[in-house]
Amino acid sequence: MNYLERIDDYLNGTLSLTEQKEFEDEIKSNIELQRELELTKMSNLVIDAALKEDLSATIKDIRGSSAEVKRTPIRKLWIPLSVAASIAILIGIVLPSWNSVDHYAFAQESYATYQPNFSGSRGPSVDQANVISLLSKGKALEAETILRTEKPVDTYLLGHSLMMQGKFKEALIEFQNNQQSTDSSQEIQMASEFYLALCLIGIGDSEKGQAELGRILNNKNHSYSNPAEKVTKRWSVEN
Amino acid sequence: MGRINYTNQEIINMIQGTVADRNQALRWVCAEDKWQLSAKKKILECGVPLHDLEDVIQDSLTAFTFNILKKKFSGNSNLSTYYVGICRNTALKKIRNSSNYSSEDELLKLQADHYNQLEELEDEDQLKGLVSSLFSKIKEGCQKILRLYAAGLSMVDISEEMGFQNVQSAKNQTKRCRDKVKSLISADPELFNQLRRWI
Repeated sequence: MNYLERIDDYLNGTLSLTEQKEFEDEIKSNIELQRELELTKMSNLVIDAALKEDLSATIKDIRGSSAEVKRTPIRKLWIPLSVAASIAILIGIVLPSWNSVDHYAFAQESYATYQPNFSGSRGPSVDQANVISLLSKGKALEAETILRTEKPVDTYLLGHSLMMQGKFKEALIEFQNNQQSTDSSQEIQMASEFYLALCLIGIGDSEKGQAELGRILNNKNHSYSNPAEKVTKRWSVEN
Repeated sequence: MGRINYTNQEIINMIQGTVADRNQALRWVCAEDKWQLSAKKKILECGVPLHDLEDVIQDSLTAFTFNILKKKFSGNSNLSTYYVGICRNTALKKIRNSSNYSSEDELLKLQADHYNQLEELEDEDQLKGLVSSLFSKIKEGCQKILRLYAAGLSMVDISEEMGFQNVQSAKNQTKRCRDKVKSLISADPELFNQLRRWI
């Protein structure tokens, strides 16, 4: 076994106890081996640092591209979806989950259209202001992270952070919680009703969603009656 | 389209596998909301300001991958718990390095932490500078071989990744490249002395 192999085995801890002892004894009396061991340690350190740099760059690229994918607006997804649908019709295949995809996309489209203008809002606390700022930049996961660490949880903003990520089922629960809360203003409660209806459509329960929108439409003083009417009309056109 | 769920062992195998497998595992980890949400919660709980959150995640992912490659993960905990633990340590290191740090308790916790397997280098930036300068003197092919070698790839895998005709070529080339690094260090007494403080 040559020097380098022995040094590698020693540094990797793969020598037996006897071999290790023999090697350490040899180091004490062999200056050349001492130098080689030191150089190997340095070289390994340098190579490991280069590997870390390389990993860091790769991770940066991957994170950058996944953030891009997450930010892709649903509008852009309509093109591949419509192409897929056309192909399916042409070859006579009925997509088994087409209905659920339609509900989901419809709710996402509607949310993108009637999303509140967070950029103009200001929260009462620093954290809430941070959350609003993140939501206005579309950084929903970060907003969700902060909101979940807060007590009591701002169910309304949490609902929005979840909706932005397309998590309609979870968002629905938060808007329901918000409606049961006595702390929310009437304005927020009305907004919750509208977004709750979109969540219901998003999870495929369009009947209940339409019923909720109908309730909003029946209330002439409801601040979301206009978007509720537009969503209802669009729904009937598309279905 | 459904998302693939990998087991801990599958993720470890992918990270320790070929470059393509490793990248696939990293894409999975980066997109795993449960992991990322827990990590971000933990980092923010440590007191890292929001504007540093992404940096801490980036450094933590690098350390996590590096530790898996170097087989530093003992397997005593869930892989996601391990990742969140690394995020916590990175967050505490970040706070410790900032001038506003005030909690001695957290520092003590950091020292005693089970997951504290990250290198405690005093000045990583300086090392990065030295490495970058040294690597610029090495041919690109050699740089790639050295990274594959550092990632723990077998000579068979290095041979495949590099497109060598046989394993012996991989062995010879790896040795040649390692010798090149040593000769560069050896030829520069200042660099030699600087590196000595880290070994």
